[in-house]
Amino acid sequence: MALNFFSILSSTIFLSIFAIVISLNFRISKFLNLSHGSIFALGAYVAYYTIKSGIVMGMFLAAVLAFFTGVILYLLIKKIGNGIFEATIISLGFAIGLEEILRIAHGKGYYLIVESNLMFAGIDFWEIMQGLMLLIILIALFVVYKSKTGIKLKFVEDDEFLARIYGVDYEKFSLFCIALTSSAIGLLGFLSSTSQALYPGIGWMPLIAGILIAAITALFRSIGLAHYTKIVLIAFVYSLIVSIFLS
Amino acid sequence: MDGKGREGREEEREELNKIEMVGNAVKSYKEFYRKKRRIKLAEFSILATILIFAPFVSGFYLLWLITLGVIYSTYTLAWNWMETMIGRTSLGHAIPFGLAGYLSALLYIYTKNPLLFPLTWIVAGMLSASVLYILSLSRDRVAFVFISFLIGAIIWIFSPLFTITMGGEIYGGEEGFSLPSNPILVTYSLSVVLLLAVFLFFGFLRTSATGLKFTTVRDDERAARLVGVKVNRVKAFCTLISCIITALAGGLYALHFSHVNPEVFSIHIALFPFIATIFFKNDSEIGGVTGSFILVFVSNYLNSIFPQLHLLLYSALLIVSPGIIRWRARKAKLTGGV
Amino acid sequence: MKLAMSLIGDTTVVGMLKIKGVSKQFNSLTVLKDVSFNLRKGEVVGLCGPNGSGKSTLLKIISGFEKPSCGKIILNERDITKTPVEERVELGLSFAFQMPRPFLKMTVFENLLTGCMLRYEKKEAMLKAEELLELFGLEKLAGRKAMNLSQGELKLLELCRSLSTEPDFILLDEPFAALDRENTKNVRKKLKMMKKMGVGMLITAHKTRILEKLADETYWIELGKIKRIERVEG
Repeated sequence: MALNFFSILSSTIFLSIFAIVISLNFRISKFLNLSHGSIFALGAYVAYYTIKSGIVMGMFLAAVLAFFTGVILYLLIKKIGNGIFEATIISLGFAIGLEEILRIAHGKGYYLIVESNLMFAGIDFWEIMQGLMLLIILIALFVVYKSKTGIKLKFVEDDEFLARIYGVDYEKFSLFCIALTSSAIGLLGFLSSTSQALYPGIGWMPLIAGILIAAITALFRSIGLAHYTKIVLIAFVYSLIVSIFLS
Repeated sequence: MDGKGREGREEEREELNKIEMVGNAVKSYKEFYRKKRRIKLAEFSILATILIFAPFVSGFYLLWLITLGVIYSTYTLAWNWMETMIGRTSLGHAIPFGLAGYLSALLYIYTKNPLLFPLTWIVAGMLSASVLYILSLSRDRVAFVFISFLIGAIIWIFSPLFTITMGGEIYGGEEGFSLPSNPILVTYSLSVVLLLAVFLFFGFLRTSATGLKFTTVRDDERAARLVGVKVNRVKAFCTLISCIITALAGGLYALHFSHVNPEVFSIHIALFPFIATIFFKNDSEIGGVTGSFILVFVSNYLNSIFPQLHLLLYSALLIVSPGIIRWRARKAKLTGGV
Repeated sequence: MKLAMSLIGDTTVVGMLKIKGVSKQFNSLTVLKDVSFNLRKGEVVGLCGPNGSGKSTLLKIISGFEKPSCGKIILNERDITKTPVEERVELGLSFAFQMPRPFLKMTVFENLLTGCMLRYEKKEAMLKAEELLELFGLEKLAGRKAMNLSQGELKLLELCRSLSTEPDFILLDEPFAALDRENTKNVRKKLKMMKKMGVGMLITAHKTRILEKLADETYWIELGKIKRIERVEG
């Protein structure tokens, strides 16, 4: 039962990060970013190549690579997209493209295994890192929402058009949101690469689960940090239900 | 008697005057639709001729590929029907498409009777239609795209978990189910008949008074209600027609491969009609058919270079699609009306 | 004008639209309080008041887009409080939006044809649509797609389409909003013509002055309640 609880907790942390990232994109950049699944896979593939040569370096590389992938997506949307539907479709095309590049690059070995037995106080090192990551994200959100930028952020969340009129640099917010969330997802892909066999479509399942959790949380119509805290709670309930269902 | 006759003549004269009074609007409207119908009929004739003669001039593989093109064309037309009539862009049409194959495979395992397949296809169409109809009740069209995508993706992800055990053997899972194999000409003939029927049916309905009423729902649901259109009935009818035809195409697709696996629910299948219609006018049946054939043949060529390479093409087209669609809309605006 | 008269149903039967004690609440906010009045066929009633006074909500309730919290709507002796919008249209009620909502991808002629097809077969409906075009001076725009029209033209199309279903009563939500002087004059002219045709109209506006020489009766509505009535004698 204790082990079961641990797996629920681990799943809660993992899905919370995914859902927070999706929600941030939807609220600030105003579209459903479907490329997160593929960026997650990208991070996991970086782990496959770098995990043995240096964890810190690998994590950095995954985050930076994912960051710039996010920047490319932002530029594409800015150039071609216009509105929520178009931006979402572009992100879907981008996701398929990224997935196919990974598939073509690894055509010879479809399923890859990343091996690492790092443990800390009897707990898997990578799980601890994911927990830490969630904590850092929540603290960062807390700090940002309490700062002057937080007010602008809430303004953008509420009405992007009005925020622009009142001088908020929306494009900057959107760019950083897409790039930073992509970076976070790339890092998450790196950190969770040891727990599953890698293949290019690895990110679809958590992406869909993340969208579901973010959508359910959106029904509560909370704003600011309260919204993201609720995401963690919903992710916990979701993990619990899935765990009961699977057992 | 005489008086009545005079009255009748007067009525006739009045009627004639009315017709003479008919100005340019009615005349040009009638002329426009007559022309439109003539064009559609010509397109239909060309398509029918090509498809009737194709088996005589094609080798096995080319005919196999053309059959695939025909099936996908039917699927695209069915999908496009929902978009152009009630303004709902569905990214969940892989559900009726895949479900038809799955249901017939299941039925085949239990009954070994392929004659009941069409029944399962219609059931698959009706089941999917009920889901998409409920989604279409909301006036939020973007939410419809997202939720239909989400439902389709969930089914795609979880379909490998679907297995059945019979006589100690496990069927389904990643491997999917087998269906009886048929001669290529059977699948081809059935697919062609379906495509031509759908082409004619949609072409006729689109240029009829009923079609005009339907399109009011696409343009503005509230305004449609104000001209007496029963919006929910139109939605139900269009969704049902679209899903049943998609399911018929999906059933034929499963028969064509004699096999069905979770990939029939994939995002790539769901996106096919969207990509196939990017370059063509939405209300053109021949556009949907041409787009589907091009996509099938180009994908086949790309796959011969590298497996699944066609998905990179899908990706590129999806990324540029908003620009192309906007360009098309601008062109339509400049072209004006009748 | 003979043709124009034929567009409207039997004018000899006096129809009546009755609003009886209509109230509307959104959560704890009361938007309309016990509103009652009658509108006869061929009569024009103005409903004036400031922003947020409940004018548009009342029109939406009468047309069926909103449900009242309490009260009744009676159209030609028939309770239509729970009747859906499209059935109310069939029974002879029409509505023109404040911001015109045409079928953008259709031509002006098709926009009217869809309405005319409610009462007639397609052939007859085309003749009726043609008559409406002439009546509103839209013949030259017949083949143009609605998405290519100017604001003034759209307003005329909205009015014309509301007439296309041959209603006994039309509800007009601020028909003069966002129009320049010239277009306002034109719309007024068309409304007067519609009045002569025997259609009952309920028109909302911010100021009573704009409805002068048009409305037979004007109600001033404030905070969801009818405060005063101005009647034009004779």
